[in-house]
Amino acid sequence: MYIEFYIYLDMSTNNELFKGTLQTIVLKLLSENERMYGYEITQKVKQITKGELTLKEGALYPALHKLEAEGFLETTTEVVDNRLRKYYSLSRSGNKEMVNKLQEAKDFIAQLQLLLNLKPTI
Amino acid sequence: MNLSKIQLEKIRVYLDEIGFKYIDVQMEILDHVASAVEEKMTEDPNLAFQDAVNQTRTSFGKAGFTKIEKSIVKGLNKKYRKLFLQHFFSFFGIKYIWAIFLSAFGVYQLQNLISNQDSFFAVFSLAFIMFFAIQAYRGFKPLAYKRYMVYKISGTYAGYFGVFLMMVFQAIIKPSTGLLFGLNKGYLIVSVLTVLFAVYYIAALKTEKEGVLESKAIADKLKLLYR
Repeated sequence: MYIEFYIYLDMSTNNELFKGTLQTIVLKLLSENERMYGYEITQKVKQITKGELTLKEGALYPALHKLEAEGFLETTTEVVDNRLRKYYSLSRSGNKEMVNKLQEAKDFIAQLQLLLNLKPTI
Repeated sequence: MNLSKIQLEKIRVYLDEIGFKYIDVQMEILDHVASAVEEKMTEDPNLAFQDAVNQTRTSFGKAGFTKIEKSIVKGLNKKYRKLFLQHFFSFFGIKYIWAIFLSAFGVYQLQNLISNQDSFFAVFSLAFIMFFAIQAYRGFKPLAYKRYMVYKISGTYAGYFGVFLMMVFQAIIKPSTGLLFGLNKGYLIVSVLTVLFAVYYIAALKTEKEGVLESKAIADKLKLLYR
């Protein structure tokens, strides 16, 4: 499912398609990395998509703070490299939300494939 | 490469100068900018610190910083509204509902005992002055956190107490006449409003306390940095 998801992102370089799935991407990354800070998330997206997609801070932070306010993310602040760093991690309800959102994305991609007659590349 | 304390301070001062005054907001933007600057300087060791900052600043744009601040404010508003409502409605659960009814009954009986709205108004005014004295004391106490957005937002609810008080005053000054469920309607309205006001205020204080604790946690970490 994860591979399938990124095939879809790789197929399109249009960041507009990114917006609707941003929360799902953040939740998924956090489920795989335990805890991450803002800049790290932007770099991870860049690394996975080999620079095809850029996650701008203006889009990332609203998503992070929205997920935090809804109780899906927990935060801790630590002193790292002479400054304070805020780490985000999944809460218990965030884990459930990640599973739901991933399923939604999977269903959506399946529907898109039907609608646009896309053939999986793997 | 890692930025020095002096370089980090330069970024912090810049953020302060362009209007990002709240420490918790600054903290998050600062870490992001510093990480980006560090990466640029690692990729190109000949790149000067100021040039790396300028490049990062251009890629962000002032709107980029503002968007982060707005998202922090929006997120905190949502988080603390949820907390406030949780605290408020917790008083109407099985655990506290008896206390609510008992308090309302107490206020009703107090009015009955005084049986003169003017005297009750005098008692209520005295309680109001005492309450204001406490409120004024509270206002001075947490000055240490006034530069924290989280403290500012968590304290919003305690700031609205005046609206409730005005309603109670209004009900005392212009009491409703007649009976409701066999009880004095005017007394009943004042009792319900007074208890609701108390519940609102306690919930607001609890919410504010959580904001203070969150601000304190960041302030303690900051102390570690600058000791």
